[in-house]
Amino acid sequence: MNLFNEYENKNIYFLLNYLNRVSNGDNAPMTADAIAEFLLGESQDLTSPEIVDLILNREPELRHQLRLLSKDKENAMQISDLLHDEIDPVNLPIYPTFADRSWLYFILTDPKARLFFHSPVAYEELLAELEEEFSPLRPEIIDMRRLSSTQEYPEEYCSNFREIVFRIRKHQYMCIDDTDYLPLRLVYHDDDDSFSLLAFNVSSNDLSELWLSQITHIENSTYINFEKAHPEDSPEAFESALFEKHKASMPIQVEVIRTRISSFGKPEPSDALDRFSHLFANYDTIAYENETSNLIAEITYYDFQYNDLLRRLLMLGRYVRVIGPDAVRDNIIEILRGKPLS
Amino acid sequence: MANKNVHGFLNEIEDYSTFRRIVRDVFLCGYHTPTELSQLPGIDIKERSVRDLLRRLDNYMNSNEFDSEMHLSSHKLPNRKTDKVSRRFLVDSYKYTYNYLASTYMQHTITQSDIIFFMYFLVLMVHEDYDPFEFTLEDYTDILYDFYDDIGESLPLSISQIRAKMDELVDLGILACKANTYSVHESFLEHPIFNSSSQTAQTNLADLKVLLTFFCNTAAISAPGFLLSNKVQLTERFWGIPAENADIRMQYPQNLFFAENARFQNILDDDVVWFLAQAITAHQVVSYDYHTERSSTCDLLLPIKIVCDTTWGRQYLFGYSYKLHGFTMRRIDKLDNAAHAEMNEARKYSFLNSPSDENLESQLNACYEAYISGAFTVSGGGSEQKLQKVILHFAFDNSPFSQSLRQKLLQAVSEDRLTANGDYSYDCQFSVASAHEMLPWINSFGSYVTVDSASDETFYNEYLRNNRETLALYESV
Repeated sequence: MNLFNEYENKNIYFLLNYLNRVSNGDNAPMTADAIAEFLLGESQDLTSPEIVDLILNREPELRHQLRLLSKDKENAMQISDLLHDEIDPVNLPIYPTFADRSWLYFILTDPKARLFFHSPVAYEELLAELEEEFSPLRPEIIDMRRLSSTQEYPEEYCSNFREIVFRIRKHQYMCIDDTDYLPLRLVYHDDDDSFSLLAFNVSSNDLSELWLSQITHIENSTYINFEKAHPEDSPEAFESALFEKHKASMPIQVEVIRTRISSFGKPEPSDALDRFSHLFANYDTIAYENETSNLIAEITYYDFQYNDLLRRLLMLGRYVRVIGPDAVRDNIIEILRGKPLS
Repeated sequence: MANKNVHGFLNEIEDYSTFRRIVRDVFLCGYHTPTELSQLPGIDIKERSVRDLLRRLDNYMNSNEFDSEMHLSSHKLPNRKTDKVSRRFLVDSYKYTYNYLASTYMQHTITQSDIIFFMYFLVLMVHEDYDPFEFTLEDYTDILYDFYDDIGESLPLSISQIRAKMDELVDLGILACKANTYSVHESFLEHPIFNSSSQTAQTNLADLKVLLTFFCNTAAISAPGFLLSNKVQLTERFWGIPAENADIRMQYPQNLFFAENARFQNILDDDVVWFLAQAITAHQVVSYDYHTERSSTCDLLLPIKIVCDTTWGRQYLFGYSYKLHGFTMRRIDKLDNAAHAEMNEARKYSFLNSPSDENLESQLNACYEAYISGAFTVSGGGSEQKLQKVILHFAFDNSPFSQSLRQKLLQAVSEDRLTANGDYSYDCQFSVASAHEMLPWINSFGSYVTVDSASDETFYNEYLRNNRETLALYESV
């Protein structure tokens, strides 16, 4: 593993590529020299067992050479070209391991899994196939504790979900309640197990957030797809500019209070930091320590995340203090006091 | 089924548990000096090694040269007296739609077993007789002999070594073994629902890819199987389906989701969870070290259930502790050195009434149900749990924030529990084993909720004190 650790996954491609070459009719067993040449880019005068040994025993010399190889862009490009041009695609079996399949079985038992499959038959067949295996990750030994969860999604919800996924992929507009939208991203809300959609609203010429549970019927829009509506623009650039516009100009600055007073009246460490880092794992956050050893965190966010952000800050109660900007701090105080600041 | 891939993973990542702690402490909170880190509880390594680990982590995170912005930045802030380093994940949910740690894990946890797989498979595939793919150990040894003979070299492995490698492939699920005959385990991707040139098969495969992308970032439990989504993409590629933006590096799927990135902890713990899940299934007693702020203790426990608290992204292990002589809920991220422990049946099930093979599962489940029944999230009690009453009054107004809270309330609390007084006002009542656990949820409603004074007295006082202290933070304003 150390061997591969250092060169990213692309080295897997080296091996796959080799497998491909062999299985593509280059039937004579590859000589050790060819393997070495393949792995190292030049003839090495090594025997096969040496190569196997080198790889299995993680010989430093080979690692060093591989490292050089993977750093060499030109070489990397050649491999890339090989992959695409010289080699005909073959049905190379890439086996999901036992753990892979076990995990897949676990996620397929989640009610959300059905949302993704156009074909209920495919879903059922896949589940049945994996069910036969003995997976350690069985739903009956795992209890998910969440405040609310959806046990079953209505058929309409499922088909809307798939329709939206399809339209996001194809940059296709859609029409909901006589308004045209270009769907951009699906947002999953972990706390209540629900989805919303971030979409470009044509009438308001801006970003809108729609709750999937409230979308009833999706129709085709008169603007067929992005390419037709904006021939000179790329969807990625358009989307990126739109989101950039919604990024808050000032990060919210908060202080995370890392001590609490114990029942004996002494200060002791709290797990505020742990909780904070979980709640704000979705936000771009930079953190540093202040003079009192508390943590100052600067949270950057998109404006449509604002309500969620406030709720997360409130959840942390006395372990977090909003320092600025003033408007956000005042807003928090108003919510805590239940009356407007005079 | 053994769990070689997990063992492999643990063996191969040097100092893995330390690595895990450091990821948590530095890359999530990022405020320690290497000296401080080497002194944290549970980290038993020299300062120099900590520096090495930090460097390794930096390399891991920054190794993707194609995404120059995807950097974990480490920089000193101006006017700081100490040399404490601040780091952060750049987790802009719009731009980076894959889980930072998941992808690090994905790219850097190829085990020796993976290499064995590729190398041995390679040897198999070059042989003309490998179809149909069913063989005994002897057949395979012959194949290997022939292979080495062809190239004029001697076989570098003994029969027992070959057998061991084959067993590893079986453990990994690559080969199936029945009555001494090995066959290649049919991959579900080979299934006709995926593997054909028909439009339906391609749609199925595309659906599977989206499913994997989504769950890779959100599933509360992960397995050491995060390579799966990559494998599906590789398969797609070798089937000749054109991949978008084909490139030598791992491709990240098209951005369909506004990323949910809160699953880091699970990803770091998944090898332990995997081990524990297997122990639960096999009713095996496990021993482990448990680290808290103040102390580290060893424990001996019969694991019964894995419990995920989604609010705080924590995973717990519920089981019977032979040290505490009672049921307990342990945080998985705080346990270390988990291993199987031998124990005779009589002692193992001493806490059950006349256990038998037939009623074992249901008895153990009943123990869990009794414990968790009074829990708001995970803090339950034993069979004699005392419940605390909590009465809440909600009063919302027209503001968008207030309305979003109202929505959250309606989703979280079932209708039969809520009494509506007019449009925006609700009452509800809970009886829970630990009202303390409800506090963050109650806090999230700010002053739109009040706790009734008829609630459990201890909790009511805690709630008042908490409110006082929170407001005190802003007193000068």
